[in-house]
Amino acid sequence: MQGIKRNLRYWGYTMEYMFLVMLGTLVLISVMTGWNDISNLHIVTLELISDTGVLYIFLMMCMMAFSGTTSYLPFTLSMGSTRKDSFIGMQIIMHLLELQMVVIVLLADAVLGRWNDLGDSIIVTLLMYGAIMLFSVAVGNFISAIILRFGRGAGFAAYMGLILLIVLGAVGLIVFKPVEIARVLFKGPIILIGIALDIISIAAYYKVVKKWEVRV
Amino acid sequence: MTEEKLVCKNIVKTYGKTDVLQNVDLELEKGKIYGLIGRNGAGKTTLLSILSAQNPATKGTVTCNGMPVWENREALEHICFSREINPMGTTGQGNAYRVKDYLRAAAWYMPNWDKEMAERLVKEFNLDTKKKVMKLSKGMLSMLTIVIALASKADYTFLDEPVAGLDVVMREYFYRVLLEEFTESGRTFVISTHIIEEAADIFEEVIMIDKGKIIVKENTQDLLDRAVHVSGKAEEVDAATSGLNAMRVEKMGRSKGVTVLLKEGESVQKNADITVQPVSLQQLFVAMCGKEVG
Repeated sequence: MQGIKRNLRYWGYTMEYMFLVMLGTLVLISVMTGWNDISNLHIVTLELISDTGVLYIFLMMCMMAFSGTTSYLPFTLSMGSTRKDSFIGMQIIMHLLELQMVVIVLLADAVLGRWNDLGDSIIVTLLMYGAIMLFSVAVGNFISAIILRFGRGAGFAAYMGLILLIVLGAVGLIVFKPVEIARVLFKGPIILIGIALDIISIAAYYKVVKKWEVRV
Repeated sequence: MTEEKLVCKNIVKTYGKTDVLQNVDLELEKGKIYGLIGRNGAGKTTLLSILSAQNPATKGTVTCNGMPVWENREALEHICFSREINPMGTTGQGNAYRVKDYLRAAAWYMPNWDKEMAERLVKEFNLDTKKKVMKLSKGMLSMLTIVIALASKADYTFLDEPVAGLDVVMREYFYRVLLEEFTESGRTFVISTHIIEEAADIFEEVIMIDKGKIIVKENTQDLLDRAVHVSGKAEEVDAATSGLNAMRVEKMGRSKGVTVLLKEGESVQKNADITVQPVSLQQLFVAMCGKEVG
């Protein structure tokens, strides 16, 4: 447990720092956009968090996957951590930070009274966010594995491909019936798919990490 | 009771079709300073990476005090490989890290971290802890690796090119601090360096690696006692060194110089027309790992 504890401390500190920088950026954007109505700045901030929260959950995971893989993972190994301890620490922290962001978005939604916007009930909203969180972690893990196995260029190409898919998906949702699709998607099985993808991504990432080499 | 040693057996490391390490066997005892010397690309860093389980071996085993080191936290707590920091490379946490972040993380990971020693060394080296690692000069990066290695208090501490980029004053300081720490703690240090002449005096044993093979592992003084440089007229030198292990031959006109590594009981047949001189570790290294000239 000692090895995992050390890694939880390291990954927690490093990733929380990154998380706060991203959250700070979000607040800065809201300050800039809501400057004219300074008395309602908190509402503007909450709306921004609520509106862009899903995107931020995803972006955060992409950033963490990239820097975690290219910088922080090799650092932990060069400090004498085992691959397994470092990997477990990283995964726990990544899931917790995603959860943290989801909680922040949900709180913003609650304050703004938006909880039922996308589904039939609070449960559907929670399932949706749970699924988004797990998908994001899975995407981060898959891309991390690609970066470790094939290099940063391949990881960047994977990001680009993913962004293209998201754009196409978004267009598809707009063209077709978004509310209907959302209802079907988020009514249950999606969370199971999220869990399955998360587990598969963890296994795929660890398979690469297990024999990965620290290079200068 | 298990002997306190770091042992690697039959280590092979292959990248594609290139054998970087070929069947390396090595034993590192507690309480010695080893000098690891070899040419660029000889396999020094690869060997240290495998000994510290930072990289896997293609074949072979590494054990520390009887425990396998690969993915074994208990064994790894005895080992510190303070590798060269490349601020733009994969270990380049310098993108965001300041020196103090780097040291704090090292303290979290290293179970025997000596905070006071780290602070003292940082002060002596005049390292600015608020500075980002990516903005450090080569010499400062070396200082940081030295601080981590010494303050880690690990039983087996490896330093890869620790004095690269350090000025002569700082190099002298490093050797002094290293010897003080060695005397006090009895830790084992393995120091990989290209500045052989300067560091030769502190190496109790020297490990020479060439093209992925360990060609010498011996007490430094014993090794130097066996090595001589014979020079003079070519035919006289040939006669004097006939049947001996000539490592390197230099020809200049009718004169010749030969570096010889004597075996037990062997000697150079001295005569008035040849000169027999002792060689330095650097000269011996060049003789053993350099190409023949002339």
